[in-house]
Amino acid sequence: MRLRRTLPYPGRLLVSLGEDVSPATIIAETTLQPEEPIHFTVTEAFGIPPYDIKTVLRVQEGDIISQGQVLATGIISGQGVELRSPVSGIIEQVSMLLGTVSLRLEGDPNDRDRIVDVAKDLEMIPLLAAQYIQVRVGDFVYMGQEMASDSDKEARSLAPMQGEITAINGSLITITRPFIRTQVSAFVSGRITTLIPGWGAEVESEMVPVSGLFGLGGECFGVLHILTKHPAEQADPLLVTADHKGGVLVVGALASSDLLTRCRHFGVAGVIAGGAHNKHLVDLLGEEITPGMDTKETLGLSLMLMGGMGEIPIEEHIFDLLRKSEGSMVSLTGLTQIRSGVIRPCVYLLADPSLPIRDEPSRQGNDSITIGSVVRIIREPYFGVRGRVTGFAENDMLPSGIRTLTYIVLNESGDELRIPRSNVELI
Amino acid sequence: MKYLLVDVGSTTTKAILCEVGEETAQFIALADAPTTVEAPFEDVQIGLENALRRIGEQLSNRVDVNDTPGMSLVREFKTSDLDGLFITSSAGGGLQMLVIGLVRSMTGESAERAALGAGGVILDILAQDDHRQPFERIERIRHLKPDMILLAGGVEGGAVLDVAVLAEMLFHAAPQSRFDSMRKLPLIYAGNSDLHPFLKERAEGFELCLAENLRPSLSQENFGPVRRVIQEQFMEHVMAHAPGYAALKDRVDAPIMPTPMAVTRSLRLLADNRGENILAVDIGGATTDIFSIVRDDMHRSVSANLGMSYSALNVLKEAGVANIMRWLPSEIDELALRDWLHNKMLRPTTLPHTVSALKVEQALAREALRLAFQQHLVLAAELRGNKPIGDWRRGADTFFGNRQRFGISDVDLIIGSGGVISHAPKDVQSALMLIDAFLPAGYTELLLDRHFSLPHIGVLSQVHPEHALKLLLNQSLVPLGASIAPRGVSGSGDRITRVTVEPIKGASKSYWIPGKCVSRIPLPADGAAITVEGVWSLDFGRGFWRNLHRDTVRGTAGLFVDLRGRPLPWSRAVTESQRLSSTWYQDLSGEED
Repeated sequence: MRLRRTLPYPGRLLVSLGEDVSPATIIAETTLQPEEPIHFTVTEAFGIPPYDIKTVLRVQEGDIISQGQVLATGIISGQGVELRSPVSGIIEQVSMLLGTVSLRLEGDPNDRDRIVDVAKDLEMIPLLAAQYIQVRVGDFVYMGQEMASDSDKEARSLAPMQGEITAINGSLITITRPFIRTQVSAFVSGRITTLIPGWGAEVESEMVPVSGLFGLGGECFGVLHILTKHPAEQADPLLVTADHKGGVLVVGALASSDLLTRCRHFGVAGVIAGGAHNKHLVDLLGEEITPGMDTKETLGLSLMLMGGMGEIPIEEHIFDLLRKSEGSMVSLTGLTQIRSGVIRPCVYLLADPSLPIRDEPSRQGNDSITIGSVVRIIREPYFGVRGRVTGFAENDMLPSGIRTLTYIVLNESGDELRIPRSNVELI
Repeated sequence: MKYLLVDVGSTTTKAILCEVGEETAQFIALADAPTTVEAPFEDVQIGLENALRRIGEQLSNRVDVNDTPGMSLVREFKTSDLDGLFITSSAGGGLQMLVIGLVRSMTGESAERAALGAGGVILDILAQDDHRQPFERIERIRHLKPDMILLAGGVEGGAVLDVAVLAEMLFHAAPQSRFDSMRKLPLIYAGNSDLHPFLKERAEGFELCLAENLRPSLSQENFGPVRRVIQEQFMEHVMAHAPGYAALKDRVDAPIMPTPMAVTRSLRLLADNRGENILAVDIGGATTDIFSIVRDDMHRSVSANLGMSYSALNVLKEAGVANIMRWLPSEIDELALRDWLHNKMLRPTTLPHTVSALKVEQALAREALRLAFQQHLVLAAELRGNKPIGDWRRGADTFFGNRQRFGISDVDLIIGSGGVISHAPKDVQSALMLIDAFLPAGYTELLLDRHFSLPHIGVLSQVHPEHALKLLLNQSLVPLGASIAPRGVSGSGDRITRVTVEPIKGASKSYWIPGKCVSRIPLPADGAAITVEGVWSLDFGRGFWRNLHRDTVRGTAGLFVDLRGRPLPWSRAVTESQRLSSTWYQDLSGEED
């Protein structure tokens, strides 16, 4: 299995070709900032029309530049003039219509604060200058925004960069920039097989993916613990203890509200269950789960549900697979997208060559169901029941009054059930 | 004359073989097959061939169908039996458009209306005031892979630079086409014509099409030219590159049309024929489309997140759990309801097995339709920035912020379509869903598009409008009945008013209508005349205390006399609302006076 792991913006690679990686290994990182780039009106500085920007520009789109680097050169009143960048970053756009250069900031998360002395700008003593400050702690200021001014002297103090005002001591204003370091980890154990310069790498792994139906939260990894003996059981919330911190738990047929709360309390990284109640998840998230979603909503852990909503036993062969991986390191992603490019949650387990690898049942579709096929019912009132197809009935009437093609399914208790074709999936 | 009409939908290819003569118009055979536009098939002809094979099976004694591949079946149909092949398409998600306007509520809204009317599925609307940073817009454009981009902005002689900035942002983003990343994306510009030279010079990365300004002045919208350009581009640049369409294009007898555009043509045909105001709804798994033709103004809205499966949880979020539960019996608790809806989102093709599950789906449909209609009224609003002169009422309304162009009382006819309505086990259920969702006022006829054939009829109407109309009236639309909802407040007695039904053949019958509920009166198959007796407190459409008479009312569901009042008298407590809704429906088919 190969996984492509890349950054959202270019950065630097921290691994080399052929290197063995663990899920926690950082592959690449960037200090380019995700918020809006800074715009410089270059042509205004040289007094030329916007469409002539390229005649003075010394950089182009995609260039990585450092603080103090020359952005443009030109001649004003017979004098050669250079325009230098006050910050480091990457040139994102050059507009010939507006005459601007857009620069995505690069910032060191360890060096976020800048202290501005307003007194210096206003040319007065600090005690007096403090009275002219127009911003407050908690305000967000943009580069060039006025922070203090003295109209009598026509003196102003402008913010040298954007950020939040975190302290004001006399005439000293501290601006904290929201710099973050974005990193991408290997996520799975394996070996680096391809480097993508500036962006990331491809990891080849022996791990095997097992998909679920619905999930929440992002990526995590940890030691796998199984809290139930049987896939149809429900784990007692009290079984979750501080020992499970950072681990991934298999909790049986239902991830109850109490259990998830306890998992969150003890710092469990991920939970795998047959089902959960939508109401419990909504209560824990504090908002409704929306459709077509890219589940960035987080429970404080990653969750993967194998069967859907409600109390649903985990499929036995999946449970066996999980049991074989108990105690080993697994990787789990709860990311789910229902529409426009379906993404399902997935757990990556260490491959066991003795285990047969099966396709996921629902991917095969219902066209291949014939008499004798073993199926699982995927809608109430028999949700989760397994059985064997013994016949078909055309234009059969359901208790709801709907007429459709039904399968006659003989369940494990020996009852004959008539189930609409679309309400079963092949196992 | 025999026609083969095909709608290549996003999931299903629906084929109808029909015959139209001097006296008759009928569907001879209907068949569905899964659409095969996506991998692994990537050829729309395979799905079409499967649908035709099923039609062939139904007519095996009339048409000789071989197991020959590709277009041979169509060819065979054509040479042997057919007078025309007509196709509409919404495969692969339909005509996906990115719309860019200058001000969201002005040219943005106008461009949205133009694109929706041309059958587009709008991926996003960008505008100068869309509360996004420029880099977010660029990322959004790059993320989306539209089939076509519509750029508008500026009235004639108005803003230029701001529109140019938006255009530059688009050039910088350099979006790619869905099907072929090497192909130039069609960019339709329908804004201030002063920008044409700039675009001609700079838009080399796009297939630029210049259309007349869709908002030439603040008080005017001009959709005809831009819709024609969208249709041309759809054929030339979208359909021609979609898998399997190139071969199909040469076989059809009229240009392939986006499905929603074909629906609007059908509705226009019906509106012109009957001279009535029409509201039509198509509720799907992910989206709900509403079309209206009121006083000759056509509007279409697509509620992208209101639907019966993929969007079930969004309906729950938008409507609130209490508003869905109020339609359900008290035995269904919130925990189960939420799980049902979530599972429906995860497994969209499953069917309601039990009566309770069916009730949940129909409750969801009522709320989805209600919300979609609210959104439709917002979209079909007076132009922002326009000051109506000479009409003091419209002027006053606009001044006080009411931009609504029409209300439900203006609608004479409601057409329902979509799985939950068209395939409801009983027609009465379909009718009640439409009544509860739209709350029609006065006398309103209810129709059902049982076979989802409005697109088929619409595409046929391009070439044979008379035949299309015959099919529409005789085969496509099934009369459900009518709703009568008076203005005013009814008492709560058992005998509020009396309705007399006079069948064409047989004796007339009278029914006493109780107050505060919806009463259903059965109608004979060939229709009947009805008379509703006037009551001092109720206006059935002709004034208080005056009778309402209709010469012919037909419908499989019956006549619904709705004396619940408007708006519906819900309680704040869910349990009380559930109790109320459980007492609202009275079936008078067994009672007569």
